Amino acid sequence: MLRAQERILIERAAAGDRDAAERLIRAHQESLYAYMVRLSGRPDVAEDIVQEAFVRVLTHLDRFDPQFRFSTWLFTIAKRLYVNACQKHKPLYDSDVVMSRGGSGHAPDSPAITGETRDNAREVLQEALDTLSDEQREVVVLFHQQSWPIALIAQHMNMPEGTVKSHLHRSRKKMRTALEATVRRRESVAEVWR
Amino acid sequence: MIDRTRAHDDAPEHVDVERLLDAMFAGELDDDGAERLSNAVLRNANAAKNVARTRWLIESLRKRPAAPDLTNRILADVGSRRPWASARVSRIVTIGRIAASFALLAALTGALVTRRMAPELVMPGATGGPLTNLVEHGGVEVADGVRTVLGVVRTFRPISVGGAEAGAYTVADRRAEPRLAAPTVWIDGEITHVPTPIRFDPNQPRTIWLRAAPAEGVEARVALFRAH
Repeated sequence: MLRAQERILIERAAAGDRDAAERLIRAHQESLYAYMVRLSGRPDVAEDIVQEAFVRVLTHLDRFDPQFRFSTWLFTIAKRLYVNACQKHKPLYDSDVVMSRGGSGHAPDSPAITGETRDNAREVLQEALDTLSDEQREVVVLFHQQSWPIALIAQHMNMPEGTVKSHLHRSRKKMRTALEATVRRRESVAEVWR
Repeated sequence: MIDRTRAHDDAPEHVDVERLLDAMFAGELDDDGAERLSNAVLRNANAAKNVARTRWLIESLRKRPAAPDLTNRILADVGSRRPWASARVSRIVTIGRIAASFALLAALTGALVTRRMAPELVMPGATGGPLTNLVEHGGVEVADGVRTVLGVVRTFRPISVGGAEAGAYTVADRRAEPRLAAPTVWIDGEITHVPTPIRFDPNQPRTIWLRAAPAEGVEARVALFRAH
């Protein structure tokens, strides 16, 4: 969507136009959801955050600064909500994450889990993402998934561009190492089953 | 025990591949770099594996997970906090805002154009005010009046900001072209044959601005100047 077109939609939505608000949601919900899923690793958390972020943004459109992109503002609010939610529900979120990723009490390498759930590229990717720090994960998702330029990521995350580049470099290496470990684990699991 | 993986990671060609991969993903890989990366992939099985795995990770990351459609839930939630306006009302408000923006833009543009074409209309502070009683009473009076003005010019010139010389007097910053209907009575050789606004830096205090204005019917002209 062109920025000028988006500005008009924002104006209209701020004036209470439901159709304009709907178009804004449809234009951004998919990318925001993808960002939140990769950041949190939890579709249910991502869904809640996306909804709350849109509600916040749409009820405070008068605070929108047109010199920034709407998506940058939306993503910033979503991330803030996510960080707050993590702090508020930390034990619950952590144990949920362990349960959802690790299965019901099985050891991570047990055939029951690897055979049933790990045979999924998305999970492998999420495992690799989970090896990153929060900052690294966000940089990787914004750069590779959302295609944000390095300068914009630096501005959004309040860090120098060099740090963003360094995070990207280290993250790719870390993720690759995690991927290799998964591949090795799968090979050994395959041998057990043979 | 020797860590072969680490030993390999530190090898120069490996480091180079990492650097080239970084450049590739940042969109900064030039032709030479692309060729070196391609050669490294062909020569080194490990490098090829690293490139393939990195690419797989990035491509998987780009595939967005299927998102649920939350539109209605969000709109309902927002609507419960702040009622939606009817489409007609919101359109009127939007059109009003756009119209107001255009009106403001037009006013600003008009002011800028007017300022350029006729600065005295929009810049009251820069408009010359008749400080002399030099009015159109005929050539002799005008000549006397101009002499008076020149006396002022002589007084102010040494302390004013400089500019190009015209005749014996400083002519600075010809931002506004003189619009004169007929030749102006100037003292020949002392200022100039061509009526020219004498303008010193308007941002400076003690600036004087001497200009000629046309009068009808008579040869005499009004000379105005103002001190800022």
